[in-house]
Amino acid sequence: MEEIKITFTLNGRVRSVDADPSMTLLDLLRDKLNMTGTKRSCGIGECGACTVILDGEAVNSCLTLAGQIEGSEVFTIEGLAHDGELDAVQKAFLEEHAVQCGFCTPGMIMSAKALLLKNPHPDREEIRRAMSGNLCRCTGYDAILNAVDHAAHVKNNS
Amino acid sequence: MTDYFQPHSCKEALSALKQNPGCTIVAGGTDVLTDHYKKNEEFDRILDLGKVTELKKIKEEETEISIGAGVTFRMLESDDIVEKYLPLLSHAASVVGSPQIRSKGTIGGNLCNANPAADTVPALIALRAVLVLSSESQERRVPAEAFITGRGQTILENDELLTRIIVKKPSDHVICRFEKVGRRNALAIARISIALNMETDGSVMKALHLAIGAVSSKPFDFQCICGRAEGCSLKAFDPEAIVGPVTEEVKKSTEGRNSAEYKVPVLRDLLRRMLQSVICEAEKEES
Repeated sequence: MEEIKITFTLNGRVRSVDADPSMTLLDLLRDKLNMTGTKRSCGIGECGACTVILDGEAVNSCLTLAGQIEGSEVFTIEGLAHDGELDAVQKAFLEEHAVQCGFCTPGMIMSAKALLLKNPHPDREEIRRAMSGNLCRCTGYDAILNAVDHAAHVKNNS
Repeated sequence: MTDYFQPHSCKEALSALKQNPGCTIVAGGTDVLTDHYKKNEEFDRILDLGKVTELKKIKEEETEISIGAGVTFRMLESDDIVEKYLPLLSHAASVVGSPQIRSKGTIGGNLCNANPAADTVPALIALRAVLVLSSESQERRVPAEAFITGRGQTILENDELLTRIIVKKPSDHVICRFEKVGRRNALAIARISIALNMETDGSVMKALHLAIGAVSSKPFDFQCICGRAEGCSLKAFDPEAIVGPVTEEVKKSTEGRNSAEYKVPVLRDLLRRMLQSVICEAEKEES
């Protein structure tokens, strides 16, 4: 499809890109903007590896058209650290050893971040539910849930 | 001139559709993109309804609730009006796919995609929802149960969009249940989904509506069978009067399928349990 100008906010910065609106947000990020922190895996919205935050909600970037983000606000894993300091969720994943092969981690962290932005005091069930669209084939789920819990407590105490 | 249309109003959307019959209509995009990957085809023309804000509203009117076709599952599961008046729909929306899918997928997309396993469709049929289909020249209203004609097939004309879903506000004595059987809790396509909606006047069953998804090429509406229970006193009501004939119908529709051996007994037991549970709750309310 013919390219159009797509203007959106990416990690707090307004961007205008010429892109095929029928390409996915995932391809736009990885292939057009060279932001490869967001991972490509199943490509059909089942694994959550490509999760980003779109207008405050966790979404699968593989099931989002580039054209759909016009005027929207997108956050990716690259937008979490500030001045070289990791976000509380990223730190908690390291501290709880919630990373094995690491491929699902950016998606997991973005789902966790979307949850904590809306609900800073989630209980274990709310955490499980918020993370239910992300698969970890190393099966380190307990550590991942512990990390989200840990991040919530750190945020609440800081 | 681009082939990607992103209207900001229903009027613009209907005009773009009229001029581009056969274009791909995208609401949330979660089903359209999944199908697109499977078919591995290029998009020709896209009508993206995501910026039409009037399609994203939930309104409480005097006697009914109006839900824009672009309302997401996430909005449905977290909206106070829907939770108060239509908990059946809230529940059905809350079990769709994953949090990521619920953030984008819409109730209108769920209906128009016409997947037999769509989670909100049995709930809308059991709620006797009415769908508003709009074109540039007219607007027509159809009952939810008449909208889907088969797998991926609806009665929508080429120049029509589903714009609103209307559900009457229920009376005080309505008890609902929604059950979905999937292979796992999250990200599961329904193997069976059952929506039950019972209205009583305290001691007599005024209406019973039942719809079942994922057991045939379109959601099953059991109005004929359920109609027989209307007027029956709750004390005298025997769930088997519904369970038996419904199971027989489903048996016929799943005949020859490998899944029948599993689905029929599960459906029978689940439906019996749901009916017993609504009667039990109604009797508790009465006493």
